Amino acid sequence: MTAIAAFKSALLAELPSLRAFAISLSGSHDHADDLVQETVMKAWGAHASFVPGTSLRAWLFTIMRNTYFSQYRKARREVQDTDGEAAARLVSAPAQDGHLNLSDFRTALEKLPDDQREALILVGASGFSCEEAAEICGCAVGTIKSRVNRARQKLLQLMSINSAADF
Amino acid sequence: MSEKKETPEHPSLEPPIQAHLGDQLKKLYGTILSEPIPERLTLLLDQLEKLERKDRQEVPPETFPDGADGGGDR
Repeated sequence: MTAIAAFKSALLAELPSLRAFAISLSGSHDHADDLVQETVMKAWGAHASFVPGTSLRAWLFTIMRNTYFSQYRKARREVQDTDGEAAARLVSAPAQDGHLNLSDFRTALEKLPDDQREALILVGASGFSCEEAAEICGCAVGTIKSRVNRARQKLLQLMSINSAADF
Repeated sequence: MSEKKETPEHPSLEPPIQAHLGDQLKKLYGTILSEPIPERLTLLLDQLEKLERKDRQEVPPETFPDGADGGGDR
């Protein structure tokens, strides 16, 4: 296989992860696919700077999150600011049947500050260690740990979970 | 994923609650992971690959020898 074909198939294999990270970050499928597209184009153009033997996924996620925070976050915020009302509703009527479903969770996740959501996803879903997440985000490991911790607290608050009996 | 020390203002969560949040997050993420990849993304990679191959072969940009009558694309 040529180097080009190998790089292409490695990127193809990472597309589902890139999409999952993009959707979780941006909260929107439409924005997410634009974000993936831009990430893939940047990665392709920069692929000489990828160090073989290191994690391609971490490298791609770094490109993606930098793109997201420099270009996409603003657009997302503009949408987000209008729906504080939904958050309030969520807090007031969480546990009609004692079961919080996935869409409640998704809504709560979207209410988190970007940096907390990002840290939680990287560590809790994408399978990165706190050290790797810190490298991807360009911050200290302790910062990641505290963001993850604050993210969890905030999620519980948003979903009105006080103890294990609430779910 | 070792979080032995928690900051004082954010006490650690009960383990079952933490596990519950983790499950929900993984479930949500897993749902997205299993969605089909939009065609535009795979087509994009095909296109990038094609362009790169062209570049590497250093094919001169569409030049036609003198005398070609340029009658359409083909």
